[in-house]
Amino acid sequence: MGFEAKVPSGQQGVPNPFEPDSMAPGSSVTFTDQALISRQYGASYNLVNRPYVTSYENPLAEGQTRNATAGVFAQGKVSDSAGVAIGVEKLNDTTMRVSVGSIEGVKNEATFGGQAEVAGLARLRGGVTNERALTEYHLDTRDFDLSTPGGRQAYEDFINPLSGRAGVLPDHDPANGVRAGTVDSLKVTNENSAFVDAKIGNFTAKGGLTLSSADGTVKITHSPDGTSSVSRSARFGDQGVQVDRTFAADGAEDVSKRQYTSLLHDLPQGGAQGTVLAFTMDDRWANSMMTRGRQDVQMTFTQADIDRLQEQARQNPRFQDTGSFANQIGTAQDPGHVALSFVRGTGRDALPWDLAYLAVDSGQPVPGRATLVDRNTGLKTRVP
Amino acid sequence: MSLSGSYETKDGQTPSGPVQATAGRAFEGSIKESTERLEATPDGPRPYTTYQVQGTVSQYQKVTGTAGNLSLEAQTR
Repeated sequence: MGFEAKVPSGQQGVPNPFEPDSMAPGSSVTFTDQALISRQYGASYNLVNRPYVTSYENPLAEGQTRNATAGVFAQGKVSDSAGVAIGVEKLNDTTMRVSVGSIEGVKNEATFGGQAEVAGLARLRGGVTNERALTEYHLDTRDFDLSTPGGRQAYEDFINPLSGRAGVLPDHDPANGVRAGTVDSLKVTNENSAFVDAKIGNFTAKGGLTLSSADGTVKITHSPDGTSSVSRSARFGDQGVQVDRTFAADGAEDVSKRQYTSLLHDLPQGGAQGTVLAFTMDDRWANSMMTRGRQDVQMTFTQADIDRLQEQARQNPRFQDTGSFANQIGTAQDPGHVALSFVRGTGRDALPWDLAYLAVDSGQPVPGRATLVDRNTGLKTRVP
Repeated sequence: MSLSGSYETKDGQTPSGPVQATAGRAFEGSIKESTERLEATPDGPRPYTTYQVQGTVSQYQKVTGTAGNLSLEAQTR
């Protein structure tokens, strides 16, 4: 058997898709092994009291109500070939996402509707030389709204081996709590610089970062109405960046929905101080962060925020220094390079103070917003 | 039941089976725990850890084990 469980910190246990209400938002289980799904899926969870828990090899086991010969996911679009991927994810308190498909190379650009950004996924693949590190998914998804009777029933039907519809993705039916979509995902770990360069810009400028601690993901979500969202993310040790973009059916981007995110993991108090100072210019508030615990930090910027930030950077004296943050973001010509400018080769403390210097030098807070979460207490601080 | 094996780990370590149950081998395999990472959400940063589980659960056995904050309980009939 084989599966991957994603567990939010502080949560205990394997996420159990048979009990969706017990799963924490953000938790998921992804199966990549057909044998597990058809024969040992039930064995992986504490399901002894469920009437449909049974062994494929022993269909007459005690407690069984009828023969579940097909297994949970033996029907539907899942093939018998190796390389099956099935994911069950709790998106939020009331939404379960099921993803079904095969792990395979992205077929061709036709899959992506000719949209320039989306077609870029195929080009990215050409930049990867370490194929072993590459996982690609093309998945059909259904989002089930558990707060509606129809959505909950549809989810139960999908997950329950005895429903007669187990593993069969229901039709798109938003009126009854079922939304259809597809996701193309490309994920790498320990990738080489060629991939990073292709994905978000020139990596060679980040010589202080360790490639072995890096990974990246490109995820493209297609909606039935023809719109697509493209999320590109990369992580370098304790620093992460993400760019989210939305495209209409004709391929035109809705730039107003573009979002840049910087994630800083386990930031010391000094970095938290710099973060608050950058977004508020409030010394007292910033200094108060020195009495808190270490923080996880998420900064988000719209394209309008980035436009203002770039103008702020170009007017800063540090802009003349080509190695400075002011220069790197001030000269970034595309979303990928903007995002990469947030990754600082000198460590996770650097970005908050790079932003704080821009704020102090210009006399105004930097645009955008940040959320800091105290790792000890869970206390959230939102700035500005 | 008692276990002679253990999946208590620290970040980055890769424990491997078999875990011995009193009645015999129940789970043989490995659980690989990733280092904690962050994901962006509308409510702010959310830390998470992933666990890759590979192995075989024997029939007619029950086994529990933990890897970090992951607990695994398996039973087949």
